[in-house]
Amino acid sequence: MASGGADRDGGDKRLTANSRTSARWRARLVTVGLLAVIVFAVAGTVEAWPVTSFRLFSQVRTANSSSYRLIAVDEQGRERPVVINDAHAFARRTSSQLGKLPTLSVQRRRDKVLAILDASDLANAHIREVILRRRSFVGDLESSRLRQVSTKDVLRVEVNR
Amino acid sequence: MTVTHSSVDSSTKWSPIGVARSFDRRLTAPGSARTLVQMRTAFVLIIGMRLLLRDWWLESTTPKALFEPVMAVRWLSGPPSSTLVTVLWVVGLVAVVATVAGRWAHFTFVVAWAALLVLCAVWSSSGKVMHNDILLLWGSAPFLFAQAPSRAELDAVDERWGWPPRAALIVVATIYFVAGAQKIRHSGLRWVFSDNLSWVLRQGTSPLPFQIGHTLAPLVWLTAVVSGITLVMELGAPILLGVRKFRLGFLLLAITLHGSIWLTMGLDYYGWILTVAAVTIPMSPLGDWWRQRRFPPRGVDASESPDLGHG
Repeated sequence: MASGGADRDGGDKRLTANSRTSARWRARLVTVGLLAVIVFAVAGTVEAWPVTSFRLFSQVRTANSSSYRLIAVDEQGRERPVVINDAHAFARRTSSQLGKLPTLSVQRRRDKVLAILDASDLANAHIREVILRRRSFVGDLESSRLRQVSTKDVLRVEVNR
Repeated sequence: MTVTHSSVDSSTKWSPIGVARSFDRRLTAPGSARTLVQMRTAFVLIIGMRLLLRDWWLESTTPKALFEPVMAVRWLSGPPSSTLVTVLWVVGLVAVVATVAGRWAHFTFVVAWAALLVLCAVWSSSGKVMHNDILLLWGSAPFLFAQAPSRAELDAVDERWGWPPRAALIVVATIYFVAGAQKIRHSGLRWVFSDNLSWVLRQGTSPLPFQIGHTLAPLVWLTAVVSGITLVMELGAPILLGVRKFRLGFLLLAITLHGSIWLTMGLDYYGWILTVAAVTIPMSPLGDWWRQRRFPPRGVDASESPDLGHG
């Protein structure tokens, strides 16, 4: 562990009673202030990074799971999954936004869908519309397999390009 | 941690006011400047490590329409340019070096912390809350408000130096506690007494060729035991970190917990392990022993000095 690192301005700073009181109050304000923000975020389930409610794995997981996927439909009606390619691998982190697409305005939905298309191998394909499809699965712990049990088309976004 | 005795009788000692007074006494008691410097140095080195070991420039490749800025970077209208990322990265690293070298240590610590905050905030602006660096940022936050001892004050023990390391310990303990409390709040004891962790393991992907998580997932009894230990560790953090002799034990638990999360699910939480190390080692008997050997009081043989137990 490094032992140095003090400021090099030197000087003999004798601590007065006022300085001690000031230091104590600083300690209280900073500590209580930080704890108050944490407790507020937890109590109110606030997510305003870096203020967070620290919900790490807090929801019970079961055999049932679901995921969202974008399906591109071309002019002939053929469906192809929209998969972000390796050149844009970092954008795969945005998959959590798919479930919120229905809550967005029409324009914002379209902008996001087009951005994902541009990051996929379908960037130059003629796509009529993109479907947001929700897939539900049931898992098996022994076999480690997931069995798709249902799908539901949640949203259709006209693209026409 | 130095404790001063008062004339509070046993009937009020455990009352809310008595507990608050005891907490206040312990928080604001004098402490060693060396402990503060060691912990601050540890934090800034972890910040430097995080700055160096991640490809922050990937953030610039996020499509603008998919950039969902979190609160800390709401002022950004789109993903940062690679130039901005480079500037933040260089400024952050220079600040880390300056803090370790003791050059305007308080100011440079704030700069290093802020650089990591902004870069992490952009990294988290993908629509999913990222917790990888959250313990480091919160745990080190008390040092943003702490004075920096001068070289002449390194051997000093007074109220200015005692509280920042203790505040960091308190923040880290609180975060672990609330993480456990949130599990109880949102899932109850089903979080332990069910196949919950089995499914967590099943849905993760190990970075190793052998999917150890998938192999362990069917052992529901084992995952329930591990869940229980995890919850006890989190809810017990205020006690485990509050009592000096348990702190290194908590560090071992943190290494086991976060290390196993990486092994079974490939999730990067080494920043949490290092943060726990930063707050526990200087504030443990091991830290006391090291300071005693390395910096014995002037005129005293290190091998014969009593354990000062400061910090």
